[in-house]
Amino acid sequence: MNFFEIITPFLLASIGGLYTEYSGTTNVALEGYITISAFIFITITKLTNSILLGFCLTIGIILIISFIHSSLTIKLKANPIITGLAVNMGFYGLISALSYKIFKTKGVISLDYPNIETMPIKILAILLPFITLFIISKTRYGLRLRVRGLSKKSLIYSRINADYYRLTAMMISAILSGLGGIFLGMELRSFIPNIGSGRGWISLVIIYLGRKNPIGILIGCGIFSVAQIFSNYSQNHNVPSEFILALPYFLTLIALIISMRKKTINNR
Amino acid sequence: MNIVSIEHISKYFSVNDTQALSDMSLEITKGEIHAVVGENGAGKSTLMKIIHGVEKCDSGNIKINGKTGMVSQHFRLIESLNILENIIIGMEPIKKKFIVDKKKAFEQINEILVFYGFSLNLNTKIKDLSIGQKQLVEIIKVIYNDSDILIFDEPTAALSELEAEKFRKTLLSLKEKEKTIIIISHKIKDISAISDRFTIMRKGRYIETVTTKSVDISDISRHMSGTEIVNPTIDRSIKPGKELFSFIYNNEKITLHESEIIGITGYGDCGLHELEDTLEELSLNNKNIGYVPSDRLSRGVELNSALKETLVAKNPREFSKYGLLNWRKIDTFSKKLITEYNIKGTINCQTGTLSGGNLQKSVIARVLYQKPETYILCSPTWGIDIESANNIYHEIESLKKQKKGILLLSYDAEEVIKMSNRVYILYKGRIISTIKDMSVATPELIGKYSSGIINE
Repeated sequence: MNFFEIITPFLLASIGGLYTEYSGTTNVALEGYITISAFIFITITKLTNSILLGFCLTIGIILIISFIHSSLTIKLKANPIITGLAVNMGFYGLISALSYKIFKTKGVISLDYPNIETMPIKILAILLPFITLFIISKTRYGLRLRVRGLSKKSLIYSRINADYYRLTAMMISAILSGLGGIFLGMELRSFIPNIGSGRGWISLVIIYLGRKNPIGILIGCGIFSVAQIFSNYSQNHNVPSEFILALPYFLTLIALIISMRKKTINNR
Repeated sequence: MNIVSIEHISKYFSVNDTQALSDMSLEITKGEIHAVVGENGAGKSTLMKIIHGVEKCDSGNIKINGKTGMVSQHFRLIESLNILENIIIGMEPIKKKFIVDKKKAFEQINEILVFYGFSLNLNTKIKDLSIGQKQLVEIIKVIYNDSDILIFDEPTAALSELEAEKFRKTLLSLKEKEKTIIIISHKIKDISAISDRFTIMRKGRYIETVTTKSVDISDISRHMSGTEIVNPTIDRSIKPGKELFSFIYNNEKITLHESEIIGITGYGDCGLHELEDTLEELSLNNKNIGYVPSDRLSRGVELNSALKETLVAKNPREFSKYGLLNWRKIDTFSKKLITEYNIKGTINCQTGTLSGGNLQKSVIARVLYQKPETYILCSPTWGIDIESANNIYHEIESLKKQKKGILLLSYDAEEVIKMSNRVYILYKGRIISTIKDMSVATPELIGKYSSGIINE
């Protein structure tokens, strides 16, 4: 896999997760959404023999699932971490059950397809941080989304439906992670269990390391992708891949320490 | 014509088991300035929230003919955003369908600023503003929202006399533009100077509505609390004792002695805010200094914790053994403080559900219990009804008798004159003048110094 193929799912999931962060919550189900989207996409495409249908139906189904997930969390004032984890685990159960029911296997499901064109998704992923930056700083939706995360009461006193912004943010994060999952399915032309392989979780980390800033996240995704490439490469040589996979965390730690020192000096 | 009519509404809060409103009625005529008065916890704020539509009532009828805008007692501004962004939330001018037109917003807000003679840099972040400026932003926000009915919950409490005067003028000019204004206030001046009528509430009930012109100013306070108010007098004959604590502010050393109250005051941006920050830091490192913050919401309490937790937060060690909290001890202690200081709330109720005045009482009670030698009180009576404020004054007086030293930081010149042995007046971050002879101190004199005028 080349750099762009690796960075795309990271970017989609972490920028998606950024929207929920702006709305003042965390969607810990990013990983689950990546995996289930890949599964639904491969399944529908295999059954209908149409990539377009597979793509559209997957997006539609994810929209419905995430709507239920987020509206239940918001209306019942449930803990978003717990509901998110429940969604994650539920997805895994659902996948193995459905996979066995439909394909009589719990393992790999392959498509008999030649190459699938994924260029539009890659371009979207690269542009996403900039689009998000624009939405957050220039549009009304962005302003209100940020306000939702900072003070719910502010919105209530201006008599704006505060829940709408969190709900849509959760749905955006689900759709974008889902797109990441579809992308992985398209690239591999098959579904393998654990297709997300922690990308959702790493994306959550990237959001924080990127300081909840779209450009910071773009840089973070870049660092992690490069590390991923090195670790793939190192498997052929005598470097332990764990060491290289740990490198981005190590680098960001150093970057954080340096930037924090700068901040305290400025405060004085 | 009645623009707001409320008939027999009731509201019960299950979180802290209080009947906030019972069988409350209120009628507001279009174009009037109507004051709502009563003690802390009388249900005034709840009533305003119901009128504004952010809170629902359990029973009763409400009819409102117009758009409402509300400035609540505790500001709803977002600290990390700038003034412009805070003002336009909810009424963002839009260009090209979804882009916020900041340029247009800037022009619109500037029009309001010019019209009312305010000055603000719209790009400043809220966290860099003083309480008075935040208030101004809130006011501009409701004006900007084009509301017909403007609701103000204790708007002048945090303002200096000069700012309050300006604010009252603003309300009168709003009235000229046919806005209807509902104002909650404990300041008699707000009621006597600008209101057309005022309604008195007590314990969630309607008592009476009075035409302001028909009563004497001195009668208003009696109407408000239902009892005769005795103004506390501070015994100035007690001589200050030995030195307790000193600090340096802009090259000037201020020393506090036993049985001494030092007042520090000024207008809006004078540096009182920054001085409070410095003193807060000092108090954290010194067990003998008790500190009562002016911004009690963000610095005094944790809104989501129980009232008993708030009351013991300053000295949890006293209530714990082997790292475990002794809840029975905490309960008895909290009950004692609640009765002693007449806080309207139960030990298990959520701190955030208390009314502003009761919150302040809890914070002060907590500090008083610690019995430090020195007290730093910042705007201690902000947003508190006359009776409770007097209780606090009495408390300060008895502290003085117990040889304690008190540093009183307040924007309220009258309060400072009433209490202090000595007054420092700040202007643009430095001490512009000191009044040592309190017999010459008048609000006018302090006002003059606060505006930077030293000699004529």
